[in-house]
Amino acid sequence: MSDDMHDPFDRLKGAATPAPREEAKKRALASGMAAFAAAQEKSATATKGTHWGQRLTSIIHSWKGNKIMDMRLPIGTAAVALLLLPLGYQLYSTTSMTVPTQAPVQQPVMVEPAPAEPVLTEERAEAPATDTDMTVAAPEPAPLDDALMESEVARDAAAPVVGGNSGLAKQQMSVAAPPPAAATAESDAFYMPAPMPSVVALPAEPSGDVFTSFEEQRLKAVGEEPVSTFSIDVDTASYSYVRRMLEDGYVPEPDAVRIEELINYFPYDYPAAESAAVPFKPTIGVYPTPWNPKTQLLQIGIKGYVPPAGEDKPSNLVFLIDTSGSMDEPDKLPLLKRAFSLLVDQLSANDTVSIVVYAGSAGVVLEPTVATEKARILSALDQLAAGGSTAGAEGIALAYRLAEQAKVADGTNRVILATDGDFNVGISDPDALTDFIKVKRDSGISLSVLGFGRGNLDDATMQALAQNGNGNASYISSFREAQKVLVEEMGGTLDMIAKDVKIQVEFNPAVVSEYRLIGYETRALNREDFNNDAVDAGDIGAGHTVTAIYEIVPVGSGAEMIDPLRYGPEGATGSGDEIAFLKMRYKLPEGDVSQLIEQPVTADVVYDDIGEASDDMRFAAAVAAFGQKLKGSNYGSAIDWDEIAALARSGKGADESGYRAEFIQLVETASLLKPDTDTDRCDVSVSGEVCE
Amino acid sequence: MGLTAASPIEAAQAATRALVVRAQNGDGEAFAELIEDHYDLIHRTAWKWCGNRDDAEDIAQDVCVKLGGAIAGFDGRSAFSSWVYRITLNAVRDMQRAGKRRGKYADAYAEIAPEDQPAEQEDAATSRQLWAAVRALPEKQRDAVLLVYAEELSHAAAAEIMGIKEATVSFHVHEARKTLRGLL
Repeated sequence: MSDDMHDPFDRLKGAATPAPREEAKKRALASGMAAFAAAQEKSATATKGTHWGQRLTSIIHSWKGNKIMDMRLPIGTAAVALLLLPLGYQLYSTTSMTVPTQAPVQQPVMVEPAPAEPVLTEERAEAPATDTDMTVAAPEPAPLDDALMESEVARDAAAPVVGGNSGLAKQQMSVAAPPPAAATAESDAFYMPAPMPSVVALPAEPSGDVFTSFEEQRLKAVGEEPVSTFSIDVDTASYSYVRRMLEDGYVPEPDAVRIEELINYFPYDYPAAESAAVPFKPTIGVYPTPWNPKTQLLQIGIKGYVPPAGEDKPSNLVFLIDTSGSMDEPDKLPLLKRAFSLLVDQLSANDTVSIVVYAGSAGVVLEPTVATEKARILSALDQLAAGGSTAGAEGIALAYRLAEQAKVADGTNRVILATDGDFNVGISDPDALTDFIKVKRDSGISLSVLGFGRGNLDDATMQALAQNGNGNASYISSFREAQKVLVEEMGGTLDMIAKDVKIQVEFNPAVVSEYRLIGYETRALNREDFNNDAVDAGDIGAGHTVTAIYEIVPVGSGAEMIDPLRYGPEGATGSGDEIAFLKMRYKLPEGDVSQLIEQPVTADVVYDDIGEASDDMRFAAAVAAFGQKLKGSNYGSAIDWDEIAALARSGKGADESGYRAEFIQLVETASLLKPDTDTDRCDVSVSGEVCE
Repeated sequence: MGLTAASPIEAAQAATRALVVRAQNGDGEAFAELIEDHYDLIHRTAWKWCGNRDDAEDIAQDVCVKLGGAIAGFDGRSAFSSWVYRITLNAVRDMQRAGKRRGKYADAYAEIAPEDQPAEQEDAATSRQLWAAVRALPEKQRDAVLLVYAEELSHAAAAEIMGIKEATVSFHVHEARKTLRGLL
C-alpha cells in the first residue's frame, strides 16, 4: 500500500480524538471526587483511633508500592479461594442437578487402590487442611472397611479445622475415591457394568440464570384431599427459555421447566365467552393418559373474552428499560429496541408511551407521548445504548411516577420492564420492591416483565415482580418471540379482562381414587384461599388461553399408587355421575368482589380413546409429557420421545402460527440431548438387574 | 516529547507535583483540580485504545474513581502522568478482558449499533483499517505502538508506563510491525 520509506505507524500520529461530552466528564469528576472523599474519610477515621491503630496504618502505607510485600493480594485471594471453593462446591453439589452421591454403588468394584493416589494428590492442593489425614486413609487397600472407617475419622478430624473444607472432603471422598465407596458394595450381586456415560453428562451446565426451585406436585388420594386449588398462570417464559436452551444444545435445569407454562405457551381453540361480564367459560375433557393406559387426564381449558375489534381502550405504557452494560449484546438491547418498535406499531392515537431507562444514562428518555408520533418514539428508542457504570437509582419509582402522570381512567396503565436480570435499581431490598409494586398495583398500575438474554437472567425475581404487579412475565429469546408476545398476543399482554383467577376442583371419591395436578407447582393455593378475595392470584388477558391437566386414577383401575386406609371412611358416598366439580373465581378488572363459575365434570366429556379427543387435547397432553420427561419427573417419564412427537403431530391441527410444528422439532432435539435410555428405569439398581 | 520537553512543561509538572502532594494530604480541591486537568488525557487515551465514545467515557470515569482511592498510595517515583497512563491502560485492559466473553457478538452488534461511528480524523478507509488493526494487536504490542506513535511519547516514557525496559518497547513495536506486515 504505502511505500516502505515511511513508517506505516506514522499515520497514527496527530490523530484528534473527539472531545469528551460535558456531562460524562462531570459525572466522572464527581465520582472521582466521591471516591477521593471516601478514601479520605477512611484514613481520617483510622487516624482517630488508638496509637496502635495509627501505627498499624502507617506501616501499611509504607508497604504500598513495595514489590515484595505485594504478595499480600495473592495470599489474601488464595485464602479467600480456599474458603469459598469448598463452600461453592458444596452448594453446587447439593442441588438436584449433580450426579447422585449414591452413584458409587453402581460403579464397578475395583479393588486396586491405584487410581485413588493421583486423585488425592490433586486434592492436596485444594484442601491442605485435610490432606494428611486423607493420604493416610486412602492407600490402605487390604481392609477396606478400615479405610472407610479412617476416612470417616479423617472427615471428623477435618471438620473443626476449617469449617468449609469438611464439605469438600466429604464430597471428594464419596465421588472421587472409589475404593472406600466400593467397600460398602461387597456383595457379588454388585458386579455391574459401568454407569451409562450419559447419566454423568446429563446435568446441564450451570447457566448463571436463577430459578425458583420447587417440588413437583405429588399424587394425592381423593379420600384424604378431595379438593385441589390453584391460581392460573398465563406466563410463557419457561417455554421460551427451555426452547432456547435446547436449541443451543443444553438440557435445561429441572427448575427451569414449569410444565404449565409450556402448555400455556400454545394457543388453543377453546370457545370464547360471549360477554365481558362473564369473561371466560371452561372447556373440559377427560381422555386416556398417553403414558399410562390405566389412568386418565382431566383437561380444563379456558379462553379469555376477546373484545370486539372496534373497541379500543386507551393504554398508557411506560417502558422501563435496563441499559446497564450487560445489555450490550445483540440478543438484548438491540432485540429489545426492535421488539418495542413492533409494539409501538400496534398502538393507536389514544395510547401514550413513555420511556425510562436505568443504569448509565438514568432518567426519562421520553415523556408521555401519543403513540401516533411514531418517529419521535422510535428515535428515542434508537438512541438508547447499553453501557455506563453508574446505577440509576430510582428507575422503577420514576417509571411509576410517569405512569401516574399519564394515567388513563378506563384503560390499561402498565409499566413494562425489560431487563436481563440486573435489578440493581435502587430499591435494593427485594421485599420492599414487591411491596412497592403491590401498592402501585392496587392504585391501578400493573407491571409486566420481559426477560432478555441468557446467563444473567433472574427468572425468580422476574416471576415475583410480575405476579405482584398483576402482569405477566415473558422471555424474549428472538425476534420471532417478540412478535408473538408483543404483536399476536398484545391484547392478552396489555388488556386484562379478569384478575385473581383461581381454580378449585373437587373430585368425586366414588369415581376418582387419586389425582395429580400437572405443573402449577409455583401457583398452588390453600383450599381456604379460594374464597378469600384478599388472596392474590393470576390474571388473564384478552384472548389468553389457560390449560390445566390432572392425571386421575379411576376407582378400581388398578393403577392406584396409594393403598387404601384400613380405617378410612367406608366406601364413597357421592353419586357416580360426576367425576369432579369445577369452581372458578375471578374478579372483573375494576371489581374487588370475586365472581363464581361452577360446572360439574360429567361422563359426557369422557373420551374412551385419545384419538377421539380434540387436537388441542392431544397436543396439550404431548406438551405435558414432554415437560415431565424433560424434567426427569417421577411420573410419566416412561413414554418415548418418539411417542411424544407422534402424539404432538396427531394434535398439530391447522397450526397457522407454526408453533406446534416448532414444538415437534424441539421434541426431536430433546431426544438427542437426553436419550430415552436416560430414564430412571435403571436408577435404583438394588435388584441387580442388568441394564442396557 | 511530552515527558522530556522544555521548561514550560517542567513548570506544569512542578505544579502537578504540588497538587499531588496537597491531594495526598487530603486536600479535596487539589484533587479536583488534578483530575480536571488530567481528564482530557485519560479520555483521549481511552478513546484511542477503544475507538468508541461509550467505552472511553466508562473507562475515564473508572479511572477517576480509581485515582480517588489510590492517590494516597502514589509514591512519586514516576511522573504523575505516567502513573495516570498506567491506570488508564489497566482499566482498558480490564474492560476488554471482561468484554471478551461477549466478543463473539461484537461484529453482530456493530452492525446495528450506530454508536461506533468512525471518528472524523479517520476519514480515509486505509487509516481506519490501520487503527482497527492496531487495536486488535496483542495487548503489549498495541500499548507500545499506541504510546509511541499515537501518543508520541519517547520509548523511555512508554517503557516507564508499561513497566518494562526500553528495549522491550522497541521489541514490541517491531513485533507489531511484523504482525501487521500483510496489512501495511
